[in-house]
Amino acid sequence: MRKLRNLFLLFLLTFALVLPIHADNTEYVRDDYGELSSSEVSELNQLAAKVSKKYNVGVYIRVESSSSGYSDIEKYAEALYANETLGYGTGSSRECVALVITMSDRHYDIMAHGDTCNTAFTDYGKEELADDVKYYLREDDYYTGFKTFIEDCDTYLASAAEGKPIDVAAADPEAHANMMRNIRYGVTFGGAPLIALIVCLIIKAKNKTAGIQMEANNYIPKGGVHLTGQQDIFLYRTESVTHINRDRGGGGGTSINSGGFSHSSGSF
Amino acid sequence: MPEQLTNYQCPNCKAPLHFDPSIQKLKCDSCGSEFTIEEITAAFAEKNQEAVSIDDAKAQAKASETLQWSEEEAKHLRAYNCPSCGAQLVTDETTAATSCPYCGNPTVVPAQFSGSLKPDYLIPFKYEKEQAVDALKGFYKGKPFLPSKFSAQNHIEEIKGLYVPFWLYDGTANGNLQYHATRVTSFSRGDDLVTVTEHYQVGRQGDVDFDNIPADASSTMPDELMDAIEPFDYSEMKPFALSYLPGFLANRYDVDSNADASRADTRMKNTTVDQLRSTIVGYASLLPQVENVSIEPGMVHYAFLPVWLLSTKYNGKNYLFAMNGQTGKMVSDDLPVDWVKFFVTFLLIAVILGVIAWFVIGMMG
Repeated sequence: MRKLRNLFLLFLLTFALVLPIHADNTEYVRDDYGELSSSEVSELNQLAAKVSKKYNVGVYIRVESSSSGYSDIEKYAEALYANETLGYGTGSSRECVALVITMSDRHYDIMAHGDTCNTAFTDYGKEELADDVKYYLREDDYYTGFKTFIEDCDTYLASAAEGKPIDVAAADPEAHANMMRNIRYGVTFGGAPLIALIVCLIIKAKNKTAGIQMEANNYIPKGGVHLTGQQDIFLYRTESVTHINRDRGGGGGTSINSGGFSHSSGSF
Repeated sequence: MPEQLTNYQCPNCKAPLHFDPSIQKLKCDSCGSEFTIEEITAAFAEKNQEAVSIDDAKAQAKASETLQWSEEEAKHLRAYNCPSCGAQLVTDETTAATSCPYCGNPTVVPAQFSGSLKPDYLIPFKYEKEQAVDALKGFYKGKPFLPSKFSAQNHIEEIKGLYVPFWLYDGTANGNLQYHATRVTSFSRGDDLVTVTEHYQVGRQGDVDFDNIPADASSTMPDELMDAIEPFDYSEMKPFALSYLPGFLANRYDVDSNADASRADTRMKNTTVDQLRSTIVGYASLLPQVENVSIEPGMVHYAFLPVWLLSTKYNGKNYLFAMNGQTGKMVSDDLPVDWVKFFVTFLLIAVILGVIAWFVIGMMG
């Protein structure tokens, strides 16, 4: 009996030692382009693993040189999903959300697959998520950008788990009616009298025609303006980027293609 | 004893002459004879010279002796004898041309034009009194808030053709302008709208010449009215001659050219900035950093410019109108407003716009 107990304890000990090694060696984050240090990859990998296990979906990041061989980055991301068997679960319904970037053309794609992920990452949500990440990618701060992606995924999946996926606010007929009613009263009882007052003041101004002259253009002789110097010196240049909302005002939800994928892609 | 005043009398019948703007000649009220400025100037040259010899102090002393006014009041008055009827004319110290209140003859005070007081130029009247009255009627049109009684009565209290003394300033303004300027371009990149702003340091330097900027030299003339009747057509400006004055009033200047110069300088500075700034094109914004303009004063000319002054009275208040006697441009003080008309118009527009807005927005909602 004692021998049997020792054998059981030995089994447990052996299992306990082996378990961490095989617990999770999944490459959640892979940088084939070399933008991240190995320690950064390791930190991000742990963070992605934690979120993935928390919601039972795979959260992935892939940094590639290009999407060579594929017509666009979305096709390339779908190929990675298939070739690397990304996602949690089995078969064709593996739950996965992935950020894929190709450095040669500075393109990105956020891809979701599976019911949970497609629910959590709506079209609107993916656009918002992309905005958060692109802010750092444009500054070449890849580590922070990827960390933001993983943390946002945590937030999005948590919201979806509570039954409130991050999505465009549904049109509220009552709010719309209230807004139109306010506009109607505002324009009728505020705007119309204001315009009437401006018109009357313009007419009233015709009763005054005298005034001190402040200009003397009538007294410049022909050829009387001599430009003796002019400088137009370039100093510096600034650039600002504003994201264009495309079709965000629809009914919300997620657009899923025939392969079960949803995407949000663009350049950074 | 030489006369202090000069009456321009018809060489043919001795009746008064006055300048007729429609023919630009002096015309006799009685026999209808017409004389050119040159003819009358030559004929009255000697008489004017004699009148000038009576100095201003004597006329002032005469006023003090004659009038029962205080010494301070008398100091600003002058007394003359009308050469036609002998009546005594009392004028203020700047009066240069007037008419005798007794016989109505136009009279000129040549002493007011002696030495440095002599104007360099004059623009003759082209508009007559009747045209000025007609212009006033037309001036009321297009002013719907004018009280109906005001325009219907059209009671002109006084109308006078006046040669107003003006200083005409020449000068050159040197400008140095510096701006921070931006050019903005926008384009789409993927789902982003990219806005690129280029920043520039923009400078302009230059000179602007000015000829004959007018500033009225009479303290009794409202500057706002005199400025508003500009511009005058200087191509019709003539060398000054007394013969243009009969039939009109005239005052000599009582604001010296230095006192008025700041008004001309301000106009030159503003215009120079505008002119140089107008050469800066292609920028979305201009933020002024330096706008320095210095003035090099030039010649100052003294000129008499023709103005019709009309005054009306409404509800016990006088309203003054001025018409450019050369171009016919008319301006006025701030005219009265019929507040009933104002509020009725306001309500009408507000209700119409309100009803339209109510239904249009209702259909949209």
